Amino acid sequence: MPTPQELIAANSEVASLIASRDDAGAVALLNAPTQAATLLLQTWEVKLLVIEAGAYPLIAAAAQSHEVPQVQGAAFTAYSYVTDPSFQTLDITRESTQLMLGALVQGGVIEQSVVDALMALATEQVGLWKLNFGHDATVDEISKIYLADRVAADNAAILKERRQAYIDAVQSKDEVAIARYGRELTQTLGGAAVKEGIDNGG
Amino acid sequence: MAVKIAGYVAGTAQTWINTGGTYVLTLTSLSNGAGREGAKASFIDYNVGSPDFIDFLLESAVASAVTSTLLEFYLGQSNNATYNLDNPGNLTGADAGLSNPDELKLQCTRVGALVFSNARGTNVQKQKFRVWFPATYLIPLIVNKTGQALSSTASNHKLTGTPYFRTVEA
Repeated sequence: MPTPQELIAANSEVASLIASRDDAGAVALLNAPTQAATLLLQTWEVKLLVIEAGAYPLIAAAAQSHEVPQVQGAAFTAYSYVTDPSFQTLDITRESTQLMLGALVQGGVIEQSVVDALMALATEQVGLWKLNFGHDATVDEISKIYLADRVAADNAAILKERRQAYIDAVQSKDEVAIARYGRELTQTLGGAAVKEGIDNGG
Repeated sequence: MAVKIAGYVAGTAQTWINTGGTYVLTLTSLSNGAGREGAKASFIDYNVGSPDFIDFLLESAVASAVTSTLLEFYLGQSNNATYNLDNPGNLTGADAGLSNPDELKLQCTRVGALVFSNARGTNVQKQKFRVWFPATYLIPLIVNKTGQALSSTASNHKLTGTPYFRTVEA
């Protein structure tokens, strides 16, 4: 799984919005439902679908008796899933689940259309962020990732700008400008030492 | 013997802006969630003393329109004239960014917040605040909780403080 920074860097459109500090725009893109994801199904959803498809009594009967023992076993497992409250979710992508459903279809207990309906129920379009991290991105979450870097960049850029303004003022020999830009440089984080360096010929 | 307060007289206003003001405070493109402090200031008038209160006017703009989100305004109050000494919230007393403002701001005095209006979009928006009996030295701290970066136009951002001094009847 990528880190949040890696995920953003790999998406040029999102990275561009982050660079321009449009975190809300980036979040809108990251949460846009463009990715197909498979969800865990709640067992009550599965039971409802099976009942509505008319397959519930067939599964219950096959769990009691079926000429093919493997199919009876699959039916018993399926019946347990939807009746035993200790099973709360069903992962449709698990190999064992796929085998169980395949056995039920092959044994004539349920139609393929029931399996297709289960797959459709478990498939959702989600955003890139949710696909990777399990929840939608928020603006504050994204802002926080880049906060320290942005603050450091701002501090460096502002100090550089005021340093240059003071150097230009000194070179112009304009006393008013020297006083103004010297004061502004001194009032900037790290600026007092920079000014002292310039004043000492650095 | 008690004296009667006759009223208040405004002193000289001081400004925090990125350049050309009394003090520097750079809010240009301040990112969402970030904080920025301005240079340490004093409103003492050596002829009349300390002000009873200061009226602040905070002006700013966001890069994209937002609805009712906040640009928080705090004051770090200090009794030490040296810019980086005895400041709450570990403030430096200089124009500087804070990457963890949510913790440090709690040690400062909350003055209020400029509440942005979606109707005003990306225009400069203003809100006024009054601070009574301020400390001798003040450091403004702005925390961006708008959900957007602030405007990239430097001159859109300004903080003005106007001190008011007590006058008494003779």
